[in-house]
Amino acid sequence: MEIDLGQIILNSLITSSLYLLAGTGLTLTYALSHFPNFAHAEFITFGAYAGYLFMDRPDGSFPAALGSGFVGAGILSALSYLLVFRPLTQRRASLVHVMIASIGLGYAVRHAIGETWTWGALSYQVIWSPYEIAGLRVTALWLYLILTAGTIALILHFFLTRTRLGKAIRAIATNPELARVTGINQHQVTLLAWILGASLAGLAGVFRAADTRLFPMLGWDILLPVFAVTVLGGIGSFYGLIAASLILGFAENFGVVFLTRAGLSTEYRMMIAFLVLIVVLIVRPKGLARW
Amino acid sequence: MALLTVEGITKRFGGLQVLNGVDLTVAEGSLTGLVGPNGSGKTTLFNVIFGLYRPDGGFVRFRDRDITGFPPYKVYQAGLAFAFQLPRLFYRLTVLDNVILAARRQRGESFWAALFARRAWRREERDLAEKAYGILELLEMPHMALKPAGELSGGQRKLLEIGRALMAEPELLLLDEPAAGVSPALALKVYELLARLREKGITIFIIEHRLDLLLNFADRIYLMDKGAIALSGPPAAVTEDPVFYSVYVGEHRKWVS
Amino acid sequence: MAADPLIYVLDMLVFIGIFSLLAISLNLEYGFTGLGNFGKVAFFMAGAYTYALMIETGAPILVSLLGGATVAGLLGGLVSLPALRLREDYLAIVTLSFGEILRLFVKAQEGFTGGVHGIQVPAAFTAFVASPRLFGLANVVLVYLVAGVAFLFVQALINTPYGRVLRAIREDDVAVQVLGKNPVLYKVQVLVAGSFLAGLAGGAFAQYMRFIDPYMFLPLVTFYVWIALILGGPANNWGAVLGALVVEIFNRGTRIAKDYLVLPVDPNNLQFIMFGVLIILLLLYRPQGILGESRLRTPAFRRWEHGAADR
Repeated sequence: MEIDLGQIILNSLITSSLYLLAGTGLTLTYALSHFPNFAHAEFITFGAYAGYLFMDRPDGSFPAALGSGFVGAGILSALSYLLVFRPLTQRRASLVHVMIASIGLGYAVRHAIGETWTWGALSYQVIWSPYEIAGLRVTALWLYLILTAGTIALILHFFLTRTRLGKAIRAIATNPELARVTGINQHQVTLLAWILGASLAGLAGVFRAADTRLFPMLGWDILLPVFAVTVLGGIGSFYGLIAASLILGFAENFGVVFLTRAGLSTEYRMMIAFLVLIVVLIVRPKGLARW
Repeated sequence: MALLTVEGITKRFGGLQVLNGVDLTVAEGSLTGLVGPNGSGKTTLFNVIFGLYRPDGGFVRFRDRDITGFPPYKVYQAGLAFAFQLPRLFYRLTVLDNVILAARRQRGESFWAALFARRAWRREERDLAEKAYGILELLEMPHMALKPAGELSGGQRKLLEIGRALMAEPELLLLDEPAAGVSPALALKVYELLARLREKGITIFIIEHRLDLLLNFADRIYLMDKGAIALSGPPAAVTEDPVFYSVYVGEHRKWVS
Repeated sequence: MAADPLIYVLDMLVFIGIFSLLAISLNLEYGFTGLGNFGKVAFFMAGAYTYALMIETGAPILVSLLGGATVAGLLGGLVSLPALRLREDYLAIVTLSFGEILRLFVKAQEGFTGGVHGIQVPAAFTAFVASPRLFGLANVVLVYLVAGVAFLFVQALINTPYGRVLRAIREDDVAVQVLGKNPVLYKVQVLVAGSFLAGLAGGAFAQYMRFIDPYMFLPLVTFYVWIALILGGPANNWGAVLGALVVEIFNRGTRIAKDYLVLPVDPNNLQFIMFGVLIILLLLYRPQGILGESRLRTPAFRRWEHGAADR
């Protein structure tokens, strides 16, 4: 079996783009609220289902689906923050308690989704036919995904470095006490970060559903790899996240090639992300960015 | 005889050189004071001695044992004890448990002994409980013995922190500002306790801002400034040295008794 | 599901017993020592598969159970060495990931563990297999015997100076060092013991189910155990048992509702939604659970409790 390098690189960029979109929200909320939100998976999933509103017929508008996913996930996140996580932190709940609450929230939302639609897999009705460009098999969807991820990366770069809100987010992530003293309203900024991050995760959900199928475990299936890139990049570091997404994306896709060559099951693909996660947490918990 | 020797200890935090080559000795049986303005590195030095931080360079020797970089539990086992400035009690455990925990070498604290050597540690527990109760009586809080430590007042918490040191029966006790934030009456009580400890043969090394108290009780004082020792000697000599005043610029008028 | 109500009750009792054992094991780790182990299912699974493999080679039931527990315990020790120095959130993520890695590993192994197809577990009580009722009863006895021993073990360990150190570690594991105890040693011991108990539960589970596959060991199991513990009351062994009872009854309740009531909502989904909401409400308004923390009853405590009048 020969290695189609170009195709693997393309696949890697696709995976990386997905992880970047999904991971931004997680790294932000983890840094600002100081806990890993296991319900982040459901922001991804809910975005996908919100997108389905426009994708249940073959002539649906994909941009509308993206918009719907963006907004839907954001709303879910705002509700989660206001009804669950903020009250818990106000009551000084321990870290373990907040994590468990997020897991519980995840189950509740996942099954609410399963109840509202169906537990079985649905499909986005819009078909993306593959083209051949320069010997590579591509679909317009994949190109949109990579393009979106790249654009978001640029936009966020400017947002985080040039706007007041973006700088406020970075300030709170690095030094919350100082940020408070300079008059930043921590509550508002944190809420906005939760919404923004989840909205991006919602986009990831729409893309993933469009590329595979729509099912309630959509987000959970990639949650641990998303944790892996968050931790590898350094919690709270957007630039670290970009690098980590690329690293893990390439590691997974090249890894799959080697696994098949070695005759091993591609089930082990998932283990790549997990192992990365565990090794990073043990050896270099601050990740690449060292914030 | 020097019980504790500190030689050339340096410690850096990020861009800040907090300890800049500290040298001192604590004589056995003495009550030695460590004074200096805020930010001179006193607490950091204690943390390094007790293994809460690793020094970048230098040595800490206890008797003739090199204990540099030992983790705190090993430093304790070597014969030292530490009372924090802000008490680190176990707030959900009872006051009695907080004291008993400080005792050395309890058989019942090992997994197998706890399960299988019940007779032995039960006896030990009873003895420790008596001793602990005695300490609580000394601290005038025996009625709080079975209450959670979280219910103690601030002053009581400070006393308990020191009470634990009594229970630990160390050879050398490090205290970080035992009289800080307590009423003058309580502060005096604390120092009377410390005098008792000395009678039992425990050497005491103490960080203190309340120079008036220290001057009456200490055998030797070290003055720290900007991460190094600026002055040392018997209290009277140190307080009359002009260096002393220049280090505490602007504060000297308070301390003239 | 059997139409025989007795078998149904026995079945429920077995599950309550297994859950109690799991909850007790988590209680030792989290309730008393403060270790947030989010990978409980991994050790449960290790015990189950080890038991299955051992019993296939003809080993007697007790040996197989202990074998499963030992493997689980060793696994716990292995995981603890790198993981215990991590702070709580990293520990949670690492243990959770470990659970998933193990499950995926087992799933991928075709020959050894049967992969996705699982393995049949030969019944140890061959005499009782013929009669489902006796089989059920025998398993209830076995499970409660094992769970009972575990309960007594943890109770015995907890009301000792050792238990006092554990609770102190839970409060402040740096202050504990300053008093001369090495928290890492205790944490490793607790994780090994807790994993051992979880492995016992796994063996008993495999024995009863007579068939296991990777889909029975999802993170959901870990979550159930956590709910049970928090609901009943962390740091209280009776709370662990109570929590297991409530969770299992609730589980059953929704399944029964499915067969006998016509609800607008699928009870299966409703169950999870309610569990999620319940745990959030518990954590907000009553994090100490129904029973709350149990008091540390060492001889010292008892002495002063009774002797207070002498003072």
